[in-house]
Amino acid sequence: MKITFMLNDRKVTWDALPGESLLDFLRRHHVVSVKKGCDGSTCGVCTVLMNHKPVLACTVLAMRCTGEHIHTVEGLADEVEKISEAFGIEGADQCGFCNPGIALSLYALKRENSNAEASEIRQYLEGHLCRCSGYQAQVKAALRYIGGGQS
Amino acid sequence: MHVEAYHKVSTLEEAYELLQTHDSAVLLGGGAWIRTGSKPIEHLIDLKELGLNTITETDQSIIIGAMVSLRDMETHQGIKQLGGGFLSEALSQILGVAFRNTATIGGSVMGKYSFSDVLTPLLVLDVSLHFYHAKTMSLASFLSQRGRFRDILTAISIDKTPCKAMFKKVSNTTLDFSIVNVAVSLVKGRHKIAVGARPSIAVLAESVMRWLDTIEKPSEMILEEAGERVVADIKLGSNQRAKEAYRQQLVKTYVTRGLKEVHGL
Repeated sequence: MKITFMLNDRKVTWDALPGESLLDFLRRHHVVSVKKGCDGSTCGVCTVLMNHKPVLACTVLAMRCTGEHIHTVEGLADEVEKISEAFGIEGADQCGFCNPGIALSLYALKRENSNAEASEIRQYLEGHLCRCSGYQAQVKAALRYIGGGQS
Repeated sequence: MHVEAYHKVSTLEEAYELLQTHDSAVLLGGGAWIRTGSKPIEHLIDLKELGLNTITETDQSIIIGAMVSLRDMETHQGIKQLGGGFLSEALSQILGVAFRNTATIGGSVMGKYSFSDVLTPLLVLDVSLHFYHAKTMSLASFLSQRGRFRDILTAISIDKTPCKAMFKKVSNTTLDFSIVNVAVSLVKGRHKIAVGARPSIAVLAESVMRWLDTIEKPSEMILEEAGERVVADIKLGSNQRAKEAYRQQLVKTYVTRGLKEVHGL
C-alpha cells in the first residue's frame, strides 16, 4: 500500500507493508541514519521525530505515518552540526552508533525546554543506551548545545 | 509482524462493527507492544483518527482520551497535581520519552500487561473506564475480568479528590521492567494499596485496605503489620526476574514505607 507523508520537509509517497515498522520501512527506502539496535523499544538508536516529538521507529507502524511529519538527522543538518560540535568538544562520542537518536532527542528537548538542566537532560535521554561512554560527556555536550555553545 | 488487513477507521461505530465482525481483530492503540506478539494479525483496526487524544478537566475529574500518550499524561498540569504528582512521577519512569510519546493510556489499560507500571498507580486512584458500547466500569472491576473484552475504550476518568499517594517501582536498571511495583493512597481516611508485576497483573489488597480503614489513627506498628498482611493477602510468585521470597520482602517493605509516607510518619 502507498503512503504519503513528509520526510525531512519533503513530500514522499512510498510503498509500505501493513505490519512494517517505521524503522524497517525507512531503512528499506535507504534512510539508513535511523539505526537498528534492539528492535524492541529499549535502546533508543532508532529514534526519529514525528511531528517534532521523538518516537521509536521500531515501535511505530509505517502505515501510521500517512500525513505526518517525520524528521531524521538528514533533515536537521544545521542543528545536528551544532550538536556534533558540542559532542566533539566534550569528547562525547566513540563509535557513534547511538548519536543520530541522541541528536534528535536533544533537538526535541531544546524545543521543549531551552533551559534544561543536567538532571532534566539525563531524564530525557534515559531511553538512549550507549555502550561506549559513561554518559557524563554526553550530558556535558548536551548542556553545551542547549546553552548555545557554553557548557 | 505480519498483518493481513490494516483498517484505518474514521468513526467509533465503524471500529466497533469491525471488532464484532472479525473474531481475530486487534485494536491498535499506541502499538507500543504490538510487535512483541508472534501471531499473525488478520485485521488490525487503527484508532488514531477517532479524536480520542484529548485531556479535559472538570471540577471533579480529569478525563483522558484512550489515545492520549503516556508522555502527554505525564506532563499535563492537572495530572501533576494528583496525589502530589505521584502519577506523573510513576509515568516518567517508564522506558524513555520517545517510548512514552507512542504508548497510550488506552493500550496500557486494555493490554492488561502484568509488568505494567501504569495500572498499579491508577488502581489507588478512583478511576473509571468509559467504553463505546458497555457501561462505565471501575478499573479494578475491569482488571478482574477474564477473557477477551470486545469493546472499545474511549476514555478513562480520574477523580480529583485530593489525596496523598506514593508509588515505588523496583527494577534492576531504570529502563528495565519492574521486579515488583507498589502504590499506596489515602483519600479522606480511606486506604488503597496496589501491587503489580507480582509477576502477574496488578491487584488491590482489599482485605488489608478494609482492615486499615477501621483503625482511626494507625500507629507505625499497625502500618508494619499492614505490610505483612499484604504479603499474606495477595499472591506473589517467582519468575526469571525474582523469586517469590524476594518479592515478599520488597512488598512488605514498600507497602509499610508507603503507608507511613501517606500518614506523614
